[in-house]
Amino acid sequence: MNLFDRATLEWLNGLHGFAPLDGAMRVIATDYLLPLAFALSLVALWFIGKGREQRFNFQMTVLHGMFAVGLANVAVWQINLAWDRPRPFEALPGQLDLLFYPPTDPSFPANPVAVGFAVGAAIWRVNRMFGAAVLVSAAFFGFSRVYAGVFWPTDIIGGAAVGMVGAWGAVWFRRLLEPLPTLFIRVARAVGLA
Amino acid sequence: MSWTPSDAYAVITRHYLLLSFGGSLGVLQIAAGLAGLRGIWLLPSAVATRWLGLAIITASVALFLIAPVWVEGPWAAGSAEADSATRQWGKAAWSELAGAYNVNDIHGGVSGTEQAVWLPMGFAMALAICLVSGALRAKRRGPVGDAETPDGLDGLKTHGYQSVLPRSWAVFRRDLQSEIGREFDGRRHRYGLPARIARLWRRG
Repeated sequence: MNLFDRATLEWLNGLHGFAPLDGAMRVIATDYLLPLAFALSLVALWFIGKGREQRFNFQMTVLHGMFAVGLANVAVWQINLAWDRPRPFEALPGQLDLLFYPPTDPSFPANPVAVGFAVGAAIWRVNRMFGAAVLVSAAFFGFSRVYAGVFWPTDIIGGAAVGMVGAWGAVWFRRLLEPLPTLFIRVARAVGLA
Repeated sequence: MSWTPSDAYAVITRHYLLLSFGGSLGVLQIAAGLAGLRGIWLLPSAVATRWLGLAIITASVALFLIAPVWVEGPWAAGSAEADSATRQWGKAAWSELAGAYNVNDIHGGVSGTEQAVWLPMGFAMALAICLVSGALRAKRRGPVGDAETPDGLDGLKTHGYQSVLPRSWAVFRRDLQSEIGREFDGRRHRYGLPARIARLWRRG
């Protein structure tokens, strides 16, 4: 553990005790709400395009976002195999107030943050405001997990980097798979859904 | 009451499915309202549809978060404590609601992989409701304007899904030979993996 990680984590942990803030962080940190919001932002993007050209562009971005999530998850899995970084509550036993269940997988990089950043970075390419909203939500999600005591701050930075690289790699991956992504959209249009 | 991870999983999965259904329905209504896709509106105007979408999302999230107050699950006592293994089964107190769903997947929480299965199911149910409701409304109201039904989502701007589906399928079949064939013939996407595989296949 480095000085930055420990100092930041201990400072945030020292803020615990104000029930409304602790409650809000517990809700934000939950496994279900923000990951669902990331997925539904791709659903919205699929339908939201105005003209045929913009809609095709947005729908290609949805596929790009899904590839990015897949690549980010593979990258997180490989990094986890290479480095089993202990969680903060394991490295500092008895010194932290934990607001979340103790996860059993390695700490670095933060998987949920990687997913959020992969989706946000993919959307950013076609809609800056929408993409920025998803990226800020992903960053806030990461902050809540650090506040709760289950991630180090550098896990969040690492997760964000993995998500961004996943989104970049997905551009190449999607090109490699062409014309299958285009065909997928054509088939979706054939059933009236693209 | 003693409980097993599968008891907890059954309850949390049910709640998650309802959340993903409500979230998908709300997002579909907002997106359809913004894009003018009348064929999947639940209400007759774009503005009302968008507000309805927002209300559905808000209600779904609120319902998901406060359901442990009246539904028994792995959150009766100990939700404010971190470890999900030591909890009691029953209804949650208001003070423990914030952490009620923070259950590790080894203790019955829904993992990311399982969410990737349940979420599409919730979305599919929401989409089916939108399409059926839009089709019924379009049948009663008739198409907007006199134009021929366009294919794909463009068709849903003026027609119900019952008109858009056959039209979209007909257009796809008409274009299949020319356009889809061109996509795969190795010239347009000659560096793509499928085109390379097709070339290798042809060479034998």
